Amino acid sequence: MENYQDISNSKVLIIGVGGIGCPVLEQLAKVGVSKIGLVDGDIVSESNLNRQFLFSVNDIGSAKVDVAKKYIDNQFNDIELEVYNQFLTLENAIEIIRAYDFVFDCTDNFPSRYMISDACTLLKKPLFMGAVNGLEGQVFQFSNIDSSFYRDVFPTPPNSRDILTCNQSNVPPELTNKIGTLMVSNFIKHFDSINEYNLFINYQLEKNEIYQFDILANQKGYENTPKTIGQFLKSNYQIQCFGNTTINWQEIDLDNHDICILDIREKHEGPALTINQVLRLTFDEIQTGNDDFLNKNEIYVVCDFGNRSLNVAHYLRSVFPNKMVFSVLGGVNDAFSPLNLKQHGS
Amino acid sequence: MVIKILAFGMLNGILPEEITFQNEGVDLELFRAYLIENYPSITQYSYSIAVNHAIVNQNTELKNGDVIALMPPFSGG
Repeated sequence: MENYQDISNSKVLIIGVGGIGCPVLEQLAKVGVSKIGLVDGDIVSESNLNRQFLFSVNDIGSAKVDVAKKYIDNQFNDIELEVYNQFLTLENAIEIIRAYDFVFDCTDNFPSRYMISDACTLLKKPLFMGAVNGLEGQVFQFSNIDSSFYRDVFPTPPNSRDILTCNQSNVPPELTNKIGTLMVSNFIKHFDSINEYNLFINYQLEKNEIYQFDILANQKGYENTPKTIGQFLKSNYQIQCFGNTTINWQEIDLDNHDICILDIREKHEGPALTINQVLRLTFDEIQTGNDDFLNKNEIYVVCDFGNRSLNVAHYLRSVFPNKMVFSVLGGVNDAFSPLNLKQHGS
Repeated sequence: MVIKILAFGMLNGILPEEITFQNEGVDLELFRAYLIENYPSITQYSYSIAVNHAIVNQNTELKNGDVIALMPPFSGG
C-alpha cells in the first residue's frame, strides 16, 4: 500500500462506540492508523452484546471507551488510543474534533449527526459517516472540505416521528459490520484519490446490493450551516431535530405503546394519573440513575402545571440525545389531561 | 417514457419499481408531484433525490430510462 505512511500518520477520531463504531475501531487499527480518539459516554449494557463485539458479559456496566481501550491495547501494541468517556456536546465538540485529521461519525441519533457534520464543516475535517435502519445502511464520505457535508444531502433534519422511532434493536450485526467496513475502505480510498469528492452509498443487506451516488453542492445546505464557531455554539440541535420541548396533551398518542408518561411529582403529590404507560420517578431518582423509561422512544414529562417538567425535559434531552423528550404543557391539571377528561366523563 | 425507481429505507415498498409516462418531457418537479399525488404516504418522510448517479437539488429534465433514487436519512448506529 503506497499510501500506508499517510494512513499510519493520520489522527482519527471515532464518535460513538456502538454497532458501527466497534468494527470501525478494529479495522482502523488493522489498517495501521496509529493515533485514534474514541468518544462515547455510554456504558455497556446487555442489549449491546449481540452486535457490539468488543464487549462481553463481564463488561456490563463499564464505560464503553474503557473496555474498547483494553481490547485494543491487548490486540495491538503500537496504537495510541485516547479515550473520552463523555458524549460529544456543543461544549466539547470543537475542542475534541480540532485535535484530529479525520472524523468517523458512528452515533445513533440525528442531533449528534447534524452537530458533528456542522463542526467538521467549520473545522474543515474530512468526515466519514455510517448509519443503519432495519436491513439497510448508509455510508457518507465527505472528503471535499469546501462543502456543507451532510447538509448537502439533507439540508434540514427530518421532523417525522416515523423516522425517529424506527426500531434499532433488530439491526443484525452483519449489517453494522458491513457499514463499518465500507466506511474504512472509503477512508483508505481517500488517500489514493487526487480528487476530493463527496459520495453517498446505500447498502441493502437482503439483496446484498450497493448503490453509490455523487453528492453535489446544495445552496440550502450551505445556508443552514453555521458560518462561525460562535454561530455553531448557539445552535440547538435537539430543537432542530425534535422541535420544541413542550407539547400539548392533545398531540400525544396515548394508545402508542412506545411512549412513557414520566410523572416527576413527589410521591405525596396527587392525584395519580391512572392511564397505562405512566412511570412515577422524581427528578432526584432520575439524577441518581433510575432510567426505567429508556426502553421507550418517546418520553413525555409531566408535573402539576408543566413548569418543573420543562426543566427535567431539558435535562433528559441533554443526557439522552437520541430520545424524543417533551414537557407536557399544563401538566396533570391541564383541561385536556387524562385526569380532567376522565372527571368530565369523556 | 419509463422512469425507474430505487426507494430506500422506509420508502421501500411504498413505491413501484418503475413508472411509465405517456408523454416525453417529464421533469423532476412533475415526477415528484406525480409521486405525491399517487403515493401520498411518502409525504410523511423526509428524503433526498438522486437522478442516475448524482444527488440533485434542482429541477432537471428526465429522459427515458433514467433511474431516480429516493433516500431518507437513517440515524441508527
